[in-house]
Amino acid sequence: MIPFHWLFPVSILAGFVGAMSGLGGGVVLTPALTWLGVDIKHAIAVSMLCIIATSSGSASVYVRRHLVNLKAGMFLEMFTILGALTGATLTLLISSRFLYLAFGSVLLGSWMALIRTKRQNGQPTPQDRFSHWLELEGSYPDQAQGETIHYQGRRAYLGAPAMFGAGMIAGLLGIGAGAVKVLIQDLIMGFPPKVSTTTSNFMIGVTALAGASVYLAAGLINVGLAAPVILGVILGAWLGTRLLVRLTNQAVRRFFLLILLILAAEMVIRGLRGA
Amino acid sequence: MNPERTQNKAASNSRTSSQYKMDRVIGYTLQAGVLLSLTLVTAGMLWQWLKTGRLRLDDALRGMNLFHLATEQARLGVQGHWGPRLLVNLGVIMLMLTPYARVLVSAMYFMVILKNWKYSLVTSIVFAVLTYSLFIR
Repeated sequence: MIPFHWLFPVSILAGFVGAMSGLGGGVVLTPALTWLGVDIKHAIAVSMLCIIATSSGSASVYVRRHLVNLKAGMFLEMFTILGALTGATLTLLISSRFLYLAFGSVLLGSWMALIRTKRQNGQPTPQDRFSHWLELEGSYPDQAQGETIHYQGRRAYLGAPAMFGAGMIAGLLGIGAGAVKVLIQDLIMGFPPKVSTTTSNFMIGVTALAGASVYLAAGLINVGLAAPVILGVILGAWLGTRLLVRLTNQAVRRFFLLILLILAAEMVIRGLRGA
Repeated sequence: MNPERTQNKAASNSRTSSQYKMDRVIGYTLQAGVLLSLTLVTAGMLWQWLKTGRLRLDDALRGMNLFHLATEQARLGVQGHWGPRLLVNLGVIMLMLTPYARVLVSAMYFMVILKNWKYSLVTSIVFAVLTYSLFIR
């Protein structure tokens, strides 16, 4: 059993990183717990609770500050949850080692693509009819810039199947796959980084709940481990949201890029080691 | 300014104000769930600490689906079997029910208040699939 004075700070960090990056915090918690001696399945089970806590805690603030695009979130989570269920049923058919390597490579590729779009900063393309029909436009008051930012979501016809794929990855590997959700909204749908990060945060709670219920049914949720994690994660997520709303879109993007690189490396290493 | 533009702007403003109202409702739903869960887990851990002098609560939840677990724990509460473990378990259940309640509240809001059939359908599908996944055993 891990002592409280280790578990609590690690959980605060996980909640903080999760809320700031839109990833939910499994990226920090799962490796930290396994490193502290928790078996991988129990670690993932508690990470799922961590993602629910980060998502609900941070989204409660982000939604009230109008950063989250609720409609985009609801539309996309329909695909991601269907993907997650498909993935969970396919999980026995595909080697997880191959999956980790494939997922790691996709993340590395996206990392490079994001670095390039940062330099380009090109003209936005006009909104297509499907995205307009889905009412994927929105606005939020930006605290860092001191003005209201208006934006239009695009290419929902590509974003939807991509979200199904993200859900499948999540279901197959038992992770939140928040990174892919941020990437899809950033690269395909053209949302500002603050909107894609917070909308991903909003969505992953639902995907993680579906995942957590599988671990709950398998009897893998240890309350002794979960209790301090929940406390720490909620505190960390609260701190993360306070910071994010004050940062510029570029700073949010840079933080995400850093975490994305760490996650990609983590996945490739797990693949090479054989999960 | 031409009249069509003014009309568009008015439509967009009313859309923004209804969006902002919904943001508040969803935001407070999530906050209520998180605060309730936080209170239960904290109370359970404090009780454990006062009782045993330690924060340790080593116990795995028996494998069952969320609704089954929730009714079982609620029954224990009604029967008066209060203790640190029950409080922490209820906190974990409350945490898991928070995103579920959020989806339900969104679906109701789109249906009853906004009367937006597109998103009533979308959120109902999410709610149905999520309910199905919670019953998996």
